[in-house]
Amino acid sequence: MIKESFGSRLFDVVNISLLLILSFTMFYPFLYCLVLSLSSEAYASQGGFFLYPRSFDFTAYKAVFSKPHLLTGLMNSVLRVLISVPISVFFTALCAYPLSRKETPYRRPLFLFVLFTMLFSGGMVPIYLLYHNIGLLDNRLVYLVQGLIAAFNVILVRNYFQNIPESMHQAAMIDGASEWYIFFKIYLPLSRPILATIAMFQTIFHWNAWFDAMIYMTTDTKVVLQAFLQRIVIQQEWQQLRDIYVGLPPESIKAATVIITVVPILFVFPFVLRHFSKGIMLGGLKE
Amino acid sequence: MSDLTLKNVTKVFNNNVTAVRGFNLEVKSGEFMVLVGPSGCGKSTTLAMIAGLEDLTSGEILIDGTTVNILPPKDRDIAMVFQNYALYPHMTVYDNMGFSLKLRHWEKSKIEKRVKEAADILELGDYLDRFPKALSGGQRQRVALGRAIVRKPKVFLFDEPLSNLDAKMRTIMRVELKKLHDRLGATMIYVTHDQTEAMTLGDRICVMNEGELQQMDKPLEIYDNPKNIFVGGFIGSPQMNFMEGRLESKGDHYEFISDHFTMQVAVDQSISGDNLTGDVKIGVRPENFFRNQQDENNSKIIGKINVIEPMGSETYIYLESIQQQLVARVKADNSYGVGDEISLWVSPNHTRFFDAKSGMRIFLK
Amino acid sequence: MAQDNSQYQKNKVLLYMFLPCAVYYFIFDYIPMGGLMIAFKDYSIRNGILGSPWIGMDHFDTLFGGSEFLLVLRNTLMISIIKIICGFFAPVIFALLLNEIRAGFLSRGIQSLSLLPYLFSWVILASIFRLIFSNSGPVNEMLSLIGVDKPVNWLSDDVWFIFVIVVTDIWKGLGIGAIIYLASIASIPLELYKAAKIDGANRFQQMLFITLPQLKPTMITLLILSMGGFLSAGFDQIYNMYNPLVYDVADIIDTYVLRMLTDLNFEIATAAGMFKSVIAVILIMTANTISKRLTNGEQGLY
Repeated sequence: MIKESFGSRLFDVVNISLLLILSFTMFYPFLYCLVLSLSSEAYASQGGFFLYPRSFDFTAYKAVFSKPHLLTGLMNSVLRVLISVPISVFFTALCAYPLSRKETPYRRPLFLFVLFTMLFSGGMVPIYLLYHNIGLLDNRLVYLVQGLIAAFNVILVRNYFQNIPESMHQAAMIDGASEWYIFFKIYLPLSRPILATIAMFQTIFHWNAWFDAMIYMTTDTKVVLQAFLQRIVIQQEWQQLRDIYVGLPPESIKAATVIITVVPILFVFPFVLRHFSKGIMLGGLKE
Repeated sequence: MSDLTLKNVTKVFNNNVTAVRGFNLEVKSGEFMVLVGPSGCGKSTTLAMIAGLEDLTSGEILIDGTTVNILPPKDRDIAMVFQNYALYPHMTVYDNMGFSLKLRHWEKSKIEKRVKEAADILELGDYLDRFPKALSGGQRQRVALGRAIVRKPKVFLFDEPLSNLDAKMRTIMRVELKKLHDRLGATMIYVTHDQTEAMTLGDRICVMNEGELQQMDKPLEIYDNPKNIFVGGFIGSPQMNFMEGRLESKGDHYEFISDHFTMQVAVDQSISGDNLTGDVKIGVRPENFFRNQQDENNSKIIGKINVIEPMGSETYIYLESIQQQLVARVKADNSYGVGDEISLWVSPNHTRFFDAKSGMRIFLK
Repeated sequence: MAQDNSQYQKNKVLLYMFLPCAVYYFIFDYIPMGGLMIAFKDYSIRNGILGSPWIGMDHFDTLFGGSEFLLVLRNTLMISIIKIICGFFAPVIFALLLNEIRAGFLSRGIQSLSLLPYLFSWVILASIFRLIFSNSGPVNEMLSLIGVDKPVNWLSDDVWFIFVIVVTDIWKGLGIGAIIYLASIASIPLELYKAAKIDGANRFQQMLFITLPQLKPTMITLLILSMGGFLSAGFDQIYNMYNPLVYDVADIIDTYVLRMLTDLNFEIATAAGMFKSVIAVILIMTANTISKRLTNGEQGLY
């Protein structure tokens, strides 16, 4: 056995301990919330440091579900993700393809045209006025428009396309394929990893978006889940529920709302794990 | 310079794969010892154990009589040259070579002296300020060598250092390495899968296969007297030809019988022992097939030419005889044609006999 | 010239592919940029953008003349600077420490957990943190266990609020930030470490001379990119976590713009937003130039 120095082993112990404590803080907030949401008044008002629920009181959840816009919020969020993400991924790839081909005329200016949008923006007011003039206000289509073709994503996909061996393109050209055909039948299928990564980014973005719902929507039923959460917890709309469900601590109501919003996104978690580091490498970001 | 001893060194990996089994080796001070064998034979693992990059499962490694098993690499006074050079990309050539001395807190002036010395030997003087990415493969390899030389270690270790170079560079570096060894007189352990490198560089060669030492000897000895079929087939290019047959006793001599020919073989019983009768495989090197009968004890084999490879100085002929593929090295001239029938002669003096079942060499005299 | 033309003819189809995207960018990104004119006009909804009269820099004068925007600007800069100083190296260090763990399942498990916060919006996280950092929440509870009697007003005290903002921001970004660095570390050939061991480097020296230099380019790129968000200071997080008690330090440019927008003070809101964007571009370009100067033209964003 090769002897390892004492300092080295000490470092290992300290390092692992610190990182384990850190990991604990990563998920404790959610655990706390879960416990709180299931606690009855007496227990919750005690405050303190919870590790496991002492009772399984679902009153808070009943209260939250009774609030009219939770289910519509949930549906809006789901629809938003299911519709916006695939369309966004497609157009991102469509934009990246010409940018990845050396023979595209005016390639460099076009690239700068796209890149500039990442650096500079008109700001809230002009965008708001634009939506007003096109009729996107209080219109669910505005969700589709948000971040549809993000320059950052375009760059990732472009880099990936550039790493596909040129011989594929050449062989297809010799066989007589058009650029559209090559894009759809060769590059897209080959790019599954990076497209999955972009889809993941977009899913998280769309699911977590709340600000656009807040300023662009005036009808309550068109608002997304996060905006609903925002109203209950941050804007303190839980008061009304308290009056109906007497004896329910506000913390439990808030916590239940959080948990309801948290659960769906946990389904994305495995995808995040699998695709994120691969996507970064494929997009050449680490270079 | 130091000697290196391996006593019964064994390495078993976590998944119960035995990479090296009971390896015994004694390398004399100043010797150039080559470990050669196919991929997976355990040569790189053995080198890693000598370096201290891998633990031993059992056995001992001694440098100058001191057991070094528990010592980390930096305390073993060894230096290593890697296949991919492993140069620090963010340091200049000078810094790369001086890094180990800097870590040992040497004075700047002493470091400079050593680095310049090594740079002179390797003709790297003009490149000291460059970064590895600005160098060619051959230059990088020399920097890696320089990094090792600067240490003046007890043992030099080489892990397939020439594999990443193009063919021409490889030939040049082979010669340079040999000259370097003569100049430094250092103990060197060299791992390669290329049998040409092994033959040309080693004072002695260890041929390894599947974790075990097959034969250790001087290059020419291994070439002329392989101990088993594996060694016979591994060393030598083009490969030794093997044919199946049977040895039968004929009183004062033996007869080798095969589909291709029969051959009378003289035997010295004091060396070979009794009762050699049995199935055997014979090995004949390509250069030992002759166009003309040299002696009356030669045997003839007839085959059809399939492929002709004119090398310039000689010609390789690939022929087929009774469904057996053979290779012959013959004089270079234009007298051969694909599809021709050709007769070749073999002498028992050049024929090596191996037990068909065990593969072990049968020594006749 | 004829050759050029046929090349163009052949490749026109690529431009057609780009067309829909160009239309999108033009409508939704570039036209709003034109809307920045509002900052220089006396805008009224009746007249529309083009119909309203120009009044030059008046709005900018109001902006910089009043104390409100300057306070807001100060807060933004303060928060951004503190976040960068404290937070820039955190993912790097985390990645390095994670890399030192030899048990694969342990490092993968810790890395997976560290990605949890990335999934959730600041609405969710702020909601949770309001519960956790409340006067009777678990943090104060833990403090009382080690002898601190009075509960700390994490979210209503100026100083503690900034502290919480910075710490939770780092916490959220650790996992996702470390991934980029870990990808770089993974591409380092193992032979370099073997060579270093033989040269005599201990673990710390290996980190210093091999791992860290490999991360330098990525760090520089990310630093330059972060210049772009310098004046944003994390609107999402702050808006969801602040309250009137900490407006003094927590009011940033974006919350200011939002207020202006709700008050229908379009011109000031646009002016402030434009100021933010222009400074951001200047910062990025400056950072990029500096980086290229310092690294002999090698390292830069573009």
